[in-house]
Amino acid sequence: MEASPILDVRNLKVDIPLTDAVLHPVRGIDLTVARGETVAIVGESGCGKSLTALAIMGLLPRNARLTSERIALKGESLTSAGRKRWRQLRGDRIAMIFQDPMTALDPCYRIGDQMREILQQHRRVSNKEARQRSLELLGKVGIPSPEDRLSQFPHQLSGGLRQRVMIAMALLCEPELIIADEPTTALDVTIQAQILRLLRDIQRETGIGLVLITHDLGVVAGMADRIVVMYGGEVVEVGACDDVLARPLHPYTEGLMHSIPVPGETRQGQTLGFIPGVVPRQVGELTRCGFLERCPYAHAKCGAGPIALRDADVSDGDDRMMRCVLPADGSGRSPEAWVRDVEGA
Amino acid sequence: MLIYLLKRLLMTILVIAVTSVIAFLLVHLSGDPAAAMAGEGASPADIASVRETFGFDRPIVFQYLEWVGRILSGELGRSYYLRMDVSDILADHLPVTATLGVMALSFALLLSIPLGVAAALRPNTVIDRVALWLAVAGQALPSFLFALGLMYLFGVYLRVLPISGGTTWAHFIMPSVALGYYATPAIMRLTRSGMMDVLQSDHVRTARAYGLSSWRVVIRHGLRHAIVPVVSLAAVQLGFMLGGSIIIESIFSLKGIGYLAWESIQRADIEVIQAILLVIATAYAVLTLLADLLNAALDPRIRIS
Repeated sequence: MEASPILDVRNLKVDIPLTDAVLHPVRGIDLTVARGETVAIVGESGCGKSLTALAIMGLLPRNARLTSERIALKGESLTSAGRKRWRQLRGDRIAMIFQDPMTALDPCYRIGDQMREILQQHRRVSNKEARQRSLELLGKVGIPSPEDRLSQFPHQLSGGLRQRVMIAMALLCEPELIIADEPTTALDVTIQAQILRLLRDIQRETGIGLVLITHDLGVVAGMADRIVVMYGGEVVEVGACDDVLARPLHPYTEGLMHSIPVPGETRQGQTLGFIPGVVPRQVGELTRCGFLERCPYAHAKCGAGPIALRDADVSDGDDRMMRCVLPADGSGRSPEAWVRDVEGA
Repeated sequence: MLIYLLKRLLMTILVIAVTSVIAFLLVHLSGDPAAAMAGEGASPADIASVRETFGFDRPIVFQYLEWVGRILSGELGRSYYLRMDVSDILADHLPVTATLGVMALSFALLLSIPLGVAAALRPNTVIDRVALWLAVAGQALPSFLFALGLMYLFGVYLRVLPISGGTTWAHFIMPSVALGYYATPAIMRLTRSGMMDVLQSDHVRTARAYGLSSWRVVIRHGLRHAIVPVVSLAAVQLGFMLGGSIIIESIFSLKGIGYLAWESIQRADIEVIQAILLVIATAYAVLTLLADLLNAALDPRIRIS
């Protein structure tokens, strides 16, 4: 397993120059995905998770500047790769599944045409072979009567079916890595579980690397091997999925956990926890903890300077990292901190 | 699709019917046709006699129905001034205007769509500025001035193009450019803004995320969407060129419909005026119908609900 990981990202930064300032939506992210591994990037809107994904795809908006020490796909460094190389890789070695299946497919073309177009962009295949491959994959992602779907337009399909089509499209060229950006956010709750199960099954079957981007910790449980929690363009916590969910170390992760109702534990009428405030606008370099304003445990040390991502010295995992000055053993904090404000108000 | 087609067809017929009423009323209410036909200095008795001969003394509804009946049986009437069948007069003039309109629109589309796409792909760059400048100039410059400029440059100074008449296709080049240039700014701006929107859309991002070549992304997944409103606009522009090219036709001495309309109005040649109004209205309605059908072919959401 010590072969080069499928995805290896070091110190990835995205800057967006504005007329009066520079935005830093992504402030130096490290991310590795091994073969057959699912890594969840978790954070709320504006934390930089989607831009990170776009940066890995080479799809950043024109005005954004990307810097990194390393972006490598299966050992091939892409830091100096040209646009053409990126384009060859996209859809072939890396595929992406988007949030809103209602708008992500082109309404003007039949499902079959869109799949064939992608396949023929990357492979020398005849129309007939492309059709065969599309049928095979539509069947694999659980779409009933795939023959009929090929000749249908996206607006004739339900949201769940369209997301299955997106997944089938992602699998067309047997990529090494799939990035799924909030793949279930726009779907009905009942469909969400189906789509997640499908993604997990496919991932286990094919051994591809999966990056799952979500704001919903509930989606992550049972899906991910590792969790990367992002806040304000930084990684604030890393760890094995079960460890992070069982014992969040960073106050932000803790806050996220307290905002999820737990079946059987959360009583009816009980106030759910929430994180006060919003993600601040990412202007200028950080000179203190980025979570300071919203943290219930904040103290003088947090404002002294930028906080480093450090190894958390905890027994339950060797891979745990956190960006917080609090002791990792959980002393000095109380879970009630997250609901106290509301009840007091 | 069939229902959509029938609906659109019905609308088109309705539009033509309504315009025929308006055309008829306008001509009959804008003055006493009998007095105009009898000419200046005619005695009241002469006028009354003309009125009776041509049936202007009957109720207007009756006259309208009779006119419609005649037209439906293919009878467009006779010009009292030219002493010719209106259908023969139109047959002389329509091809000139149609050639001019189609060439002008082709010129406008060939210039404005590539410019609009280029401007949308590189907003706020030199090419965008040049396109904007062309658009502003096109809108601000009166078409007769532009036409005269063309005539001087290519007809008088360089002597490469004929400046008057419509006997060869070369005669249509300058008039088409002059007429088409006027339609360019609107089409270009619409293409540009449509492309800017569609390039931001999710499905274009998907197309890029799957490594499709830039050409495919821009044309197949971009322009195909952005062109839909342009098709509708171009249809209206062509209708406008067919009916409103009087100035250009006069400057280049092209005996087209606009020129004919202008002459006929001066002569109060009402059968011709009515026929022209009807032809232009029908052309507008049919062009709009064609544009809708073309758009339905471009965007399946229009034809399959």
